[in-house]
Amino acid sequence: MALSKPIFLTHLKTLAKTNHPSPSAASFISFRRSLSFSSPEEAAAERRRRKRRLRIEPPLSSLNRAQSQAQQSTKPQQSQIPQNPNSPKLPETVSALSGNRLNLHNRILSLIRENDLDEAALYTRHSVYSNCRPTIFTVNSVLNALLRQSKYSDLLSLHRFITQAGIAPNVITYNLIFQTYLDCRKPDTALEHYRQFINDAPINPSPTTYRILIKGLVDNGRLPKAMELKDEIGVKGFAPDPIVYHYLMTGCVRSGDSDCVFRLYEELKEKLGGFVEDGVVYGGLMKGYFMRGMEKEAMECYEEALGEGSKVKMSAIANNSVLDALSKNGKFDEALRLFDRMIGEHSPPRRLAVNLGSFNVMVDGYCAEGRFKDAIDVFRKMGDYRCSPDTLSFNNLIEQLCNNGMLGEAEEIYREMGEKGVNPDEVTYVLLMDTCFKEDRADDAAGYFRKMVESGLRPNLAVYNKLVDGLVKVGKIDEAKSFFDLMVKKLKMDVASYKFIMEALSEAGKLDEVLNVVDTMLDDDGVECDEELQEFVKAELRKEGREDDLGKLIEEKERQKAEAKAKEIEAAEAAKRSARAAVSSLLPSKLFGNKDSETESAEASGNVIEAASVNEAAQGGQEEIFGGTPSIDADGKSAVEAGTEGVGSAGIETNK
Amino acid sequence: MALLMAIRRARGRIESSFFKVRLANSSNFTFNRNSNNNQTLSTSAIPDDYHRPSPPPQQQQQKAPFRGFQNQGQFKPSYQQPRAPNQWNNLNQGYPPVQNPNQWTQRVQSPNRDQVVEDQTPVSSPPPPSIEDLIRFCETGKVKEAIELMEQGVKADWNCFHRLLDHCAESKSYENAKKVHDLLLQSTCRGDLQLNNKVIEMYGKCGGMTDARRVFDHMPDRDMQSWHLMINGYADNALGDDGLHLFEQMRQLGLKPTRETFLAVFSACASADAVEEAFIHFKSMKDECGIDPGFEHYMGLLGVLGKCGHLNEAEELIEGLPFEPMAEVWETLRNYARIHGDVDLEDRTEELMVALDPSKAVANKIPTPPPKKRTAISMLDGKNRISEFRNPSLYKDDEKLKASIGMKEAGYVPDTRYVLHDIDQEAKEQALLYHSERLAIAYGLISTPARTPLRIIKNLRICGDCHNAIKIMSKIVGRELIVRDNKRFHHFKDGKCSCGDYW
Repeated sequence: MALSKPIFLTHLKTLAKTNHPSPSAASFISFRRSLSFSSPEEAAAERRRRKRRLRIEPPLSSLNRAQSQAQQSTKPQQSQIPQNPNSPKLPETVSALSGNRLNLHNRILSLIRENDLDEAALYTRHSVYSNCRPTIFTVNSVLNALLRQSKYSDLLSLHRFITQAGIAPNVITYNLIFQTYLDCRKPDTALEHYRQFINDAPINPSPTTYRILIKGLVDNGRLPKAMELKDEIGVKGFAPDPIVYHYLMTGCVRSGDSDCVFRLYEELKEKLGGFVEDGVVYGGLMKGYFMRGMEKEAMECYEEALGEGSKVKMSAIANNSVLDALSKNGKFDEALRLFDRMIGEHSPPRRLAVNLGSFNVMVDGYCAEGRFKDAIDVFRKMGDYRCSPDTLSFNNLIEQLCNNGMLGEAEEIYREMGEKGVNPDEVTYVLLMDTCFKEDRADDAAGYFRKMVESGLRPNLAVYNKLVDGLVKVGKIDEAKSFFDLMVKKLKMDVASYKFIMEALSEAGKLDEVLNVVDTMLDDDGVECDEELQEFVKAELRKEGREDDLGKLIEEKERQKAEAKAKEIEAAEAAKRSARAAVSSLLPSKLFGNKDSETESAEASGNVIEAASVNEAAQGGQEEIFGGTPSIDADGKSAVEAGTEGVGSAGIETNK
Repeated sequence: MALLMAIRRARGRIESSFFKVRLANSSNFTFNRNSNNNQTLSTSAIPDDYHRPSPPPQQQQQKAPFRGFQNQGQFKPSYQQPRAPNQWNNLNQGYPPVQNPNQWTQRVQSPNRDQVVEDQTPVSSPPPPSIEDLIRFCETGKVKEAIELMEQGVKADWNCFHRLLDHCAESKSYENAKKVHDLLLQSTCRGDLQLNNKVIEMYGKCGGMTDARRVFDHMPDRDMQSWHLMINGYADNALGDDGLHLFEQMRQLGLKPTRETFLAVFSACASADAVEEAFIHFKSMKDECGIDPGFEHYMGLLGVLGKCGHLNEAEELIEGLPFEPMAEVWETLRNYARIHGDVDLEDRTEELMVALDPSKAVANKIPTPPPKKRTAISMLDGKNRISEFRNPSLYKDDEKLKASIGMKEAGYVPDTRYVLHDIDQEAKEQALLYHSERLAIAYGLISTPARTPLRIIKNLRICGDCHNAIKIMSKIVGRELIVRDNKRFHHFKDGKCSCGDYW
């Protein structure tokens, strides 16, 4: 008995909290406890319960739920609260990851390590149709691996699949999806998903959710929205996060708003009680001072963060942003000193003071000073500190070298990419191609373009135009034509591109090939061969007195097109007829026979089909007739035999 | 296939009905069960059995009134309503009363009388059971045998129960747990605090938190251990909310939480996704209860963050620990990173762990493939010019290729020509869904491991619609589906059938 009273009271309290309290309950508890939350603990609990309550209507009392959760097979399930089937499911807890499902998880993890992501994703899908459904943790692992390898479309399709398969996502899944959309430069879609998450999901976001969103929004140039979101964090009951402020400050610096930088810093300082221990914001702050020309203050700030006896904790990211502030604002010597210090402090694995970003900043710094040799040296030194560059940092260095006429060095770096297993992307090739043209090495430029297309990359029309333009300029019309032939099947070319190659060809006097191009152009549905262009071709042809050729060609094309269309229509008709015949043959008199007499003829022609399908129906029908009635005797001998004796199939075997 | 399901259902029912029989007349149990197993469901008998209306549960209840125990637990949780105090002490309390007292006492008094034994176990006649046998069974963990002996009237002592409860908890068998608890209630030890705590622990392990709560509510006296076991039990059964609720009650009753209480609370928070509350409790532990957080409390917090998927926050927690993290801490985080599939964090934590404790190094580990991008750390924000040069959509020829592949994946459209009944279109589509081969495949899929082939045997010819459906299914589920109808074998694989659509 001792317990029953408190239980009753808390029961009432939960009722009262759900915003439709019965009057008696409210008055009853009012003397005990006011309805507003008396402690932060209650506020937190309420936030969480509100999320979970979405799941079940009417609002659950925890006592009833304990009842319904009892999973004993011997008991009838009548006392369960009827659940709204549309309400979101709670994600599984870590305890679900045991036994077979844990084995599956480990198996998928090793596939991920082997970088066989297609197989990992496929196996996850296939496991949904088995006695061992993948947990959300397994799915998250695959999604995370796909994101790591930038396989966005695979990621989204797997996510769609698990949504359909009813595997409830957890906060990590949501974070991955936000990250994906933001990486794909679709901030609006990401925000849409965020709104859905906040409104519908039975779980709360994590601080990481906001880091991802705010960084992504800043990177996508949506600073105002990011600021809005920052204010939301406080409302959700999270502590202010210096990293979020760092992202926002970076965004402000980029948009040149130094006031905003200081506002953010003051706000964070106030929220954290007067001192910011995390060094990550100091780089942004220094940039703010530099922007206003307050060099002295900037260096004071530097002193505060990294001077003797400073209490500020500097992570690698914090170091990098300070390093960046120094090297971009004419303090390169100071930056070098800091970099040496960072390298000295670096002692992996415990203390990571430098990372890839530090080296990128230093490369930029050296290049800005015109010390390209040093830039290349420091870039190559990266490996000694267990940092590995990605495509973007290679591109950065190659771009710096190319812009300063050091094509030889750039090509050497490009070769290093191959050795290190980093795949070049379109940017790498286009940088090299452009520079080759500048240095009158048109053949090499064409070679880079060809390599790019062959390695499965997809340069766009602008790149193609650049190439053809460059080739035509040095008089390599045949080369240009060959690239036209290669790319016309791939790219959606516009009129200008067609016209350019035609001009080039006609100038070289290759009128047959011009007509060839017109031919392809007429085939291309994306562009129209307009009057102006026709005039141009005619004028070119006239020079050799062949202006009729164009007319002939166009007529021929139109005739072909008309023929193809007629054929298509005929085929569609035929398909329709046969379908009708098939249907009417099955339901001869009742529905179709009386209604439209015109099908009669069709029926006649579809006689063969009819005969066949009736025959079929008679055989299959045996089953239908019994199938509908309660007796299942006819199907009595159907049986499943699993190839291996699974849990369930073993049960069946014994029955036979 | 419908038939198969019928078999299963019927089997389930038969077993449960025998189970009931056992309760009603436990002495016949062994005999009946044996006969049940020998009978093993010949296929012919089943459809009838299936169509016979199953007796409603109320009927059962009338026949055997004391079965009310289980039903009551379901419909009226006794702890939910306040009751008069004397009701709590009521011996019968919804539990099966001692059945037929004469029989019971007789058995208790003379467990060794040959005559009685022969009556009870007609199939085999073991030597007369004695307390020594029972102790031996308890020692060796033979719970089933021990229960049988006790049902034959051998009286167990405190030690026996203690061991039995342990074994039940280990084997996580709810059925056995229930039986042992019933027997405990009939014994003289029923009020013992330690045994009751054991019972709570056992139910917690077996997933019967409703029963655990009932025991907890009915305990004549409780110690802190009981509270901890309850909260932990809730946490283990993913009912962390209830655990936190209980903690609240505990504080309202004025009990002073101890170090262990907070550990239990943290695990409850972990299972309820209550990250924020965990930190509030952690703070109140220091401020209100004056308990200095120890290593285990920090690990508790780490568990809350890790289980809820807040990995970055967990890493930050470790960075902010007041002591230097040892290998164990990193190992814990490594395990959470593994669970949530964060490869980079896993590698980093593993390295830290191995640096601190080289014995934990993982042999022949596959090196992690490098990520394609390191945007998070590269400091090259805004320098990515890929969008200037890359074609945003697929190339025309790629699109064509994809379209031609996509064509093969065409969706399923019900072909109602194969339904000959005169019913409307929708009903026809419905009817197609219940063809036996499809049900058989559906059942086969959910009861076998992924990618194993399924063999379906059917005594009628497969219909065209099912043939199409199975072709598509084989592609989606990634298995070989071998269907034998009365004409031939069909091997469905990757969306194609070996019969080449001609059969």
